[in-house]
Amino acid sequence: MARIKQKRVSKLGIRSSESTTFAKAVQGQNTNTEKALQVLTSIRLNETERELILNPPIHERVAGNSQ
Amino acid sequence: MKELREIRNSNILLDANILIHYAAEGFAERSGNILRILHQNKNLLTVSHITAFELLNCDPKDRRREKYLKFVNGVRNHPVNQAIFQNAAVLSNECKRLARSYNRIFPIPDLILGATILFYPNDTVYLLTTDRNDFFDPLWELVAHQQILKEENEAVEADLYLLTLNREVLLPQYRKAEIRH
Repeated sequence: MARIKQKRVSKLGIRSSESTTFAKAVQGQNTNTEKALQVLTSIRLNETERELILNPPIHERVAGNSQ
Repeated sequence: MKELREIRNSNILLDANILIHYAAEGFAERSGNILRILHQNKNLLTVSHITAFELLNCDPKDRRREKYLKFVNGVRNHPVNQAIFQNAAVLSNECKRLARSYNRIFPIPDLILGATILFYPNDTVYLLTTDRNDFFDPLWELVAHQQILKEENEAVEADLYLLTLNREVLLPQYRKAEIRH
């Protein structure tokens, strides 16, 4: 019985035992993805701003960045 | 090869570059609101604490900081703990070995994202990124792809890659979530 339960596939397409591990790591967080995405798209970076963040000038790059 | 919008019921870790592109004016529309589609397809969109750090690491007076903070607090966050740091250190060496470039330094945030995925069982979490330089074949295999074009001249604006970690190319002792040092 227990064995069957362990092999059951969850809605997320992963085994229940794996699902538990994943859920533990991100549990207890009150989230609202729909609202979060709305906030993200309201930032509206222009092309220059985006380029500066993605490819900052060489002197501003943190140690360990290989690009 | 699947299209990104076909992906359903999966756990997806978002790289910072995805969130920066998505915050650009008109990008969400040009991408067909791909993150919203993925959310509607019952995928769980998550970020790592290191990505939160990358987004929030700007001038406190920057008007965008508050919005990034709201975003980060609105989605699930993966912790960066001792196990993740240890996995990242191992992954750093494995990346050098697989890239056959022992002097190359891989960005720490990218190693932490990789280590986060390595921490979970195989194919449990996918990575969504625009970076195929640091997330390279054969360590990272392509699951789905979407190309975003600029409106005005149809030039490529960004390539979005959904990747899975190919553990088979790692040394045997590093393939499981709990790395044996």
